[in-house]
Amino acid sequence: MKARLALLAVVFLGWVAPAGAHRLDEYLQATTMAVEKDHLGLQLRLTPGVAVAGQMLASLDADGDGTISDAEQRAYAEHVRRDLSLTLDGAGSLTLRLVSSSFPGTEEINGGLGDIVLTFEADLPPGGVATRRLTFENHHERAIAVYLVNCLVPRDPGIHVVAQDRSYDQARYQLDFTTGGSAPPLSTASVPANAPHQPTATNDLPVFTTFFWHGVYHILTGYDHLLFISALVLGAATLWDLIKVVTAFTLAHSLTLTLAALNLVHVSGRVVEPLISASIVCVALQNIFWPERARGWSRLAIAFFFGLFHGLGFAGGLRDLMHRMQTGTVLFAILGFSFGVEAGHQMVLLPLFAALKAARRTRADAATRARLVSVLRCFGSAGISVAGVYYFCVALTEPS
Amino acid sequence: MKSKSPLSLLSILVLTPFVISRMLASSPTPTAADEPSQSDASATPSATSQAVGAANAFLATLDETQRAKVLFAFNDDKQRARWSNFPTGFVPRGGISLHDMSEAQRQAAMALLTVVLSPRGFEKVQQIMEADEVFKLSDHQRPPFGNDKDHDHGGPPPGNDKDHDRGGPPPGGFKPGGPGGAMFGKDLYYFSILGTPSEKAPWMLQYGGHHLALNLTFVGEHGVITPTLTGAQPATYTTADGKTVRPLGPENDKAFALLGALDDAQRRQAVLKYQVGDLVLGPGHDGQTIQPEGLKASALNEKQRAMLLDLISQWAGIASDRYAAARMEEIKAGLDDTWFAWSGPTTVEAGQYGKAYYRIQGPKLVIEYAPQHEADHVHTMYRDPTNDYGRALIAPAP
Repeated sequence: MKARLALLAVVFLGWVAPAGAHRLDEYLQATTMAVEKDHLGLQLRLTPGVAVAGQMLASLDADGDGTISDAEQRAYAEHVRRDLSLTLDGAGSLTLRLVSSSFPGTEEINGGLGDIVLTFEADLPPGGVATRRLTFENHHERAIAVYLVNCLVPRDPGIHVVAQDRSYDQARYQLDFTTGGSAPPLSTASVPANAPHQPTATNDLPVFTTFFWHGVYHILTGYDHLLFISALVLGAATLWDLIKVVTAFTLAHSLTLTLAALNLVHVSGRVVEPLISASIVCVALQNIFWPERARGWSRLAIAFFFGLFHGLGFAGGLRDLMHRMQTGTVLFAILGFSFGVEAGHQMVLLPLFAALKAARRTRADAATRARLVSVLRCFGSAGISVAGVYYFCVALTEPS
Repeated sequence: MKSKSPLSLLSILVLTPFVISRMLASSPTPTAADEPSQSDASATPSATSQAVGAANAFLATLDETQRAKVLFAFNDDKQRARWSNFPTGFVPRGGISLHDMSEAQRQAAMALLTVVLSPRGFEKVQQIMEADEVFKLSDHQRPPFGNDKDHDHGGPPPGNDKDHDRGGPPPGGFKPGGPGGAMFGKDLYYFSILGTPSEKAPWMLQYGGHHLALNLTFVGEHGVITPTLTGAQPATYTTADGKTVRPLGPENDKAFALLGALDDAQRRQAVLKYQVGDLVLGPGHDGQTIQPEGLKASALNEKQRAMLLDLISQWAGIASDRYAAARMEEIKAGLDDTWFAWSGPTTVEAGQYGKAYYRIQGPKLVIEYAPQHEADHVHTMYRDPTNDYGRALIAPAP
């Protein structure tokens, strides 16, 4: 009976084909700014991606009745308004007023095709001939947002854009313009190459936090990594074993993650991907056929060796998020991501290990306990190895 | 302990081939690419008179009801703006689709396209449609909207879910084709005509669907093809006879070639220090002009300028050669005030699409190239803010 149940568990595990490992949620928020002498128009076009649509819909449709009522629309527009900030010349913030809004249907939002359009306006106090500096910040749904901010060519020929500056992720946008007097030549409209680029404050802590959550999410949706970790857990008999093995793995993947994210090392996905899958199979098979070795030095060596490749795999996901980042920010991003990855590991590892320990304690005597342990290890590892072979074949046959 | 091993081994041996066969059964089968029909507008009659002839021939194949669906008033601005990037299931287009046409009607429709587009442009359009067909038949599409409510909220994003460098496992567990097939496919592309085809009075031809929006306005002997949107997913696919097709390959490759041809000082000006996540002037942004940024073409040498013009012609050259020639002259005249801006990684492996966004902006030109988040998925936009929909030709500024 136990064997049959266990076999069923193996079948189930082998059947698991996870939906979309490594996808990243995005909420596209595109702002266009229209500058006039005495006021400013801001239009925000917000498009939640299909992977975050559900959670966005939950915050839009507060009463969950399947439609976004007028009251809910107003509430959401207000929520967005409070996440924006606009200051002029560093002194005092300007108040944004909602002028109009349009919301798509819930089905469109669920499909990742819904554009929410919000138009705001703010009064600009009168200015002289000096260059004025407008600073715009968008903090709405920062963890999943992709921001775009652009200034339209002013309709009023008396207004001239002098310079624009953006933080790397466009969450912060700075516009220098004049509203009267002689216009500086258009060629200075973009930051000249020779002028030292003044990076807007990189806000390192938010970068760290954003990438921390990216790291967590990356692990929790990275089923191949989770399978590998689970195989390591199954092979560890004591907590100390587990700590040793996980440390070896962590050191290795942190090393290659950092090197690859800094572009110091590059290995083609065609090599990394099958190796990650092979690592799953190897460790799982070692659990079954050589359980004693699973506690020894060879296991640490294997965990370290394969950890190098898992790290390269993580780097792929991280690099997408990071292109053209300034060096200082890159390091914070890597740090945040690494911590996130570790936190994600622990979220899976610790409960799994605790569950195995608890299962062990359900058996009264040492003999049945040992048998239970080995059954769990064998069938768990068998399932993991099947999944590993599946990933291996996929990795070999995918056009990269 | 040892007694357990044979059982485990057996289960592995039994299940592995089963899993592999299941995986192979659901791998995408590419469809045969359509034979591109022969082109070519012969030079002697004017381009517009040929367009009128082909348009009338197409309309003649339609019955009363179809003609009523296809024709719109020239001042129908709602229909004019009714184009999009999105699948036609969610943003319905006006007019009639290839799906609702008979074989003869479809042939007349395609003949119309070969007359108004250049051979290269027609081929690109066909490849984009073919890519949508590949997408429809592949395992990678998302579940049909409204059908799979028991899936995880939202389900995976459209298309390949591959991690860009790693080629991670594709989303599994979806029915290939199936009811979702009604959302994509090469027959879900729509024709519509605004006004009456004429050699003198202005009229407009629209053709589009998922990842394609051609907006062609004819004013006498002028043909204006802005705004036009091209996109592709998958942006690389293989035909039945093993040929690799990349509908937007030149747009990618020539841009990287141009970037590579810049010297360090030029490149530093061209590459923006911030990330641009998507098209800025996509659908819904008619009439908007943004502040130009990047590297001004006046700082380019002759060879680099030629490369830039070659890149621009990937869009301007979609229209038939007569129209395209006039357009390129106009662009060349404003080249000194044209800007080239780049955001993202500056290198790419041969045959792959880059992850970088780029923009070319001139006094009468905006081109944007925006790779989407998944691999092999690109959106591009082509505009002339001074003359979108031929507006400047129809009502010249006072």
